[in-house]
Amino acid sequence: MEAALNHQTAPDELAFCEHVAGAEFQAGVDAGRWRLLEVTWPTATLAISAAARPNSPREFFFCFELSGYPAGATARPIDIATGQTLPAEMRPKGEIVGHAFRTDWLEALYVPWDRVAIEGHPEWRIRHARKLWNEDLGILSYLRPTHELLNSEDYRGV
Amino acid sequence: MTEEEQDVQIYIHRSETTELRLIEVEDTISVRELAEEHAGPGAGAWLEDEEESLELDVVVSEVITERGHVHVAKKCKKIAVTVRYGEPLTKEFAPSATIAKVFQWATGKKGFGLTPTERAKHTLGICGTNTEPDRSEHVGSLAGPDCSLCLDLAPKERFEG
Repeated sequence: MEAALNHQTAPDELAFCEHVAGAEFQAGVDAGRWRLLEVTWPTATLAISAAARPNSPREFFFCFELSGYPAGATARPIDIATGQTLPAEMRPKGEIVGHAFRTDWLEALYVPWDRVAIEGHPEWRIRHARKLWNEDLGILSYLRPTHELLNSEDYRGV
Repeated sequence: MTEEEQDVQIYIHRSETTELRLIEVEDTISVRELAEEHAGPGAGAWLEDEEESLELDVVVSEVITERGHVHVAKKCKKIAVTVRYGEPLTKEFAPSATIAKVFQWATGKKGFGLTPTERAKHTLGICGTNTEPDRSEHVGSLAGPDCSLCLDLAPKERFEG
């Protein structure tokens, strides 16, 4: 990624590149928890792995919008074959997981660590204080809890 | 470096910090050299989720795999982990024990004996904080200078509103 950077690289993109080059992000890649597929700033495509469930994929893909990083990020789950927002029938199910991947609102995940979701739910900053985006952790504060959702016993597949 | 020597990359976890280091060392250095370089004289080293510390006089290539995770610690060589879920339970872990391992113990038969359904709906948070540690983090990195760590086994919340 360094080779792709030049003097015009914006501070937010630089900050993102530093985070994905960091040991914590790389440890997640080595452990098979997530991987970076593509960066076309200010968007990036990442995959997050999921527990094995019948007739379900082992990873889900997300298109992140990262403007202003590391102030926050929003992501929508996508069908990697088409690039389109993941339809309801292909989304993860589960009591907690299914609610986070609900389709009856905006395209972003319905979780406190998503920039769009938290903007619409300021009360979550108190109610779900443990789950908020953290600028120091950056993209990890999105990947870790999303990976946790997709690998919890609550996750029932698609 | 001679022809026989090769570099090996190792993830280093340390006490009282969750900052992870990915370092590159010659595979002929000893575990003692590795531990003391990153945690000071007298430090020990543990593979992730292993209870026994590594022999200090063996070379790293004999015991640590490429990009393996090692915890180095000088002071806290055991961590007293207390999990609160009604009554508190305490168990000593090596500093390299992950939060995932503690969760398995705390929710298992030797812990609070949660059913699979209950286990799916609980998570661990650090007592008295808004911090929910990642499953990959080591108890030795989260413990304070008194070599203890307090965790709450708390219900996961659905995000509603």
